[in-house]
Amino acid sequence: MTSVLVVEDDSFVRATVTTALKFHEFEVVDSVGTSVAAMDAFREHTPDVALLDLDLGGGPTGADLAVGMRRLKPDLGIVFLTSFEDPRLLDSRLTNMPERCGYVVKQSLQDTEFLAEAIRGSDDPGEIPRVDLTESQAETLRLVAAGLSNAEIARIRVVEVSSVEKSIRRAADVLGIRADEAVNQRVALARAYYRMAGLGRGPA
Amino acid sequence: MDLPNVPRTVLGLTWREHIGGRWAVSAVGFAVITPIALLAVLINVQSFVGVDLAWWVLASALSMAVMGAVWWLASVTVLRNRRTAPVTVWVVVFVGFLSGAARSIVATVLTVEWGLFPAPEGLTALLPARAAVGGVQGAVGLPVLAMCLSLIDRYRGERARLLTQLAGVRQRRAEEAGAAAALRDALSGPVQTRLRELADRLGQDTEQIDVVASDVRSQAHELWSRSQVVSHPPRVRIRDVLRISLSIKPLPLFALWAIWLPSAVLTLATRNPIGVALGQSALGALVLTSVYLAGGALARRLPAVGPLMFLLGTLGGGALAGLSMLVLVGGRLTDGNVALIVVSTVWLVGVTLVVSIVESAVRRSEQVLTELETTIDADEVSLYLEEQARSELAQEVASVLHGVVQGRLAVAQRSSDQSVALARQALDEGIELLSRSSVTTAVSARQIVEDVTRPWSALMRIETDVEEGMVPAAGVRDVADVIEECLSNAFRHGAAERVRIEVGRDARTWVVRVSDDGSGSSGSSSAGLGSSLLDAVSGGDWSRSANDVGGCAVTVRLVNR
Repeated sequence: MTSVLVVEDDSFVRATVTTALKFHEFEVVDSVGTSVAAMDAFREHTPDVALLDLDLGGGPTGADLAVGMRRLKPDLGIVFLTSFEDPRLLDSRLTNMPERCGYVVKQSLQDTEFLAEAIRGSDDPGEIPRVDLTESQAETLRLVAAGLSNAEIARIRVVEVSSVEKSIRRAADVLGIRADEAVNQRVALARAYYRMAGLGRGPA
Repeated sequence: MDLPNVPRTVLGLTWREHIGGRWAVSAVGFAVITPIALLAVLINVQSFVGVDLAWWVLASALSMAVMGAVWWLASVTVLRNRRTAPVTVWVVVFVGFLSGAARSIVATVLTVEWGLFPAPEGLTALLPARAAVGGVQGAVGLPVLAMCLSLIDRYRGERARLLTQLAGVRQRRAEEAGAAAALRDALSGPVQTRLRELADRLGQDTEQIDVVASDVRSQAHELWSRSQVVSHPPRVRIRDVLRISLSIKPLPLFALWAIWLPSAVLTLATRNPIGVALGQSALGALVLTSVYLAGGALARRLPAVGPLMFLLGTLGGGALAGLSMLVLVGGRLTDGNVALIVVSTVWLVGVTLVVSIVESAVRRSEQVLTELETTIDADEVSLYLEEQARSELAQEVASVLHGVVQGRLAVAQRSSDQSVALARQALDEGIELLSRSSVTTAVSARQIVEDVTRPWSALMRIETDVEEGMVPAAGVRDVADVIEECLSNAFRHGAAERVRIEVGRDARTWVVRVSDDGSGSSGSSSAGLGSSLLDAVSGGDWSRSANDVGGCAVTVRLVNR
């Protein structure tokens, strides 16, 4: 029986996922909500697979935990369960994700069987999904969604304002958002970001 | 090119602003010179035996009234804008001349016409000279008076500024000690208790909503009225400015020669031939100059006797000069002459005082301000601060009561269904708002480091060395962000396993130093992002270097924290 450690900071999701995994006959060695508890539980149980939420609030991300766990057990199976369609949307610096990871986007989860499949196939997972944006476009989009002006984004990213404008234009092209009198492009970009980050769609 | 070291402003204002500003003609100025003028008359009148004192006083009062009228006219015409924008110095000089001349003319005409003053050669012979002397005195006196009042005012303002600054420092210290939170609890605690009582009453008797609403309203009103007692920083006492400003310096002599000497010559010329009068005046000036210079030299050697020397120099020097003028040049010491000496001495004290204030403002203002600062009473500052904090907090609590609780209660009063539930909700919301401190107080550096490092301690071994002390509220986020940034970089880009965090104070700022055993500072793909954060919190004062174990060491000096 495959042993699984569940790390998820939302207690409702944690309980639901744990029940589902038990239903699919996995041995859930522990289910925890913080990075410290996760590493303690990992050292204690050394599971076959870690099911990790990517965004654990402050401090290390799920990806950081994955790296730390792989240091202790290089053949550990890892599956990320997250609302972000692309990890770079959480933090543009999450480009160096650990290799051989399953990546399940919560919104696309049709039923728990899908999750069970991802865990079973964690020794040979597919590619981590990437939205069609470059790193700089993803970061710019995240900052636009945070409500920052182009000048502020330029200051934070240490680039020229014109580069930010170019980045925004290209991101809008990729996401199919046109400059249109009927739609405010910036707002549409922010909504696209929130949709991809699984943070709700907002009014139509 | 070296610029001459001449202060363009004195105590924050230019000369033009001092002379042509709000004090140019003022009720305060008039109140200052009127008693001096009347005193001079009272002393002077003794030199004319047998005259009626009441008539003299009346003549003086009328002449001062004329001078006041000229000031008033000036204040509503050419000087009307002086409070908002200073006028040209020459306008003040002209008004001074006009008012001084008018006063002299009225005084001379009245005293001669009423037979109080002997004018053997007639009024017309006396009038031009008297008018000219009065005019010159006014032309010099009014700008000097305006300047002195302005300088004293600025000193007081400057001290208030110093006090406010000092209060700021104290406030920060108090904040560090958690005093703001304590004050808040003391103020909002009783209100919370009262709201809980009201909520209980509401549970027992559902007809109470109107009573509860009225109770809350009166509490809010009481707090609001308490917050309206705005405290002002205590202002400096004028006597402190005078005490510290007094000095014996050669400078008063110039003013002496300009103001006192012409008057002395004129007075002496009414009794003696002009040549004798000039000789007497010159001798008096010489004696006075010697006394001043000697007093000045002594006061420089023994600064503690400065104010004493001022009194001795002006009173003693003046008397000595008067005596030498009258006695040594074949005069005789009559009752009238004694009065003349006393008048001269009073004049001297006034002139020296005025010039001392001006001189101290120009050349010693920093020193005077420092001395004034030391006179600030610590209790005074504490009291001021406490009143201010109390007023702000009372306003805050009142606005919660009024804006949130009372507003919701009003809805509950109008609602037929669930009105009790709504009212209870309003009270609960108020209690929660009051208990949630909106005043972010300082956090101990150790606490910040613990909070930030705890999640990362799962992945790296973290050693900390944190100096005891509180980080002010405004800096808590900065310290946390810097440590978080360094930890994530160390783990993600340096694959570090051990990290050492040192947080300490360097003079006035907090310094954070994070050192790791990772693969060094090179190759960080996030250099831009991390750097902009570090730049922002440190104002550019940070460094990243390799440490002796090949890892990376980042030192960040936080701005104004």
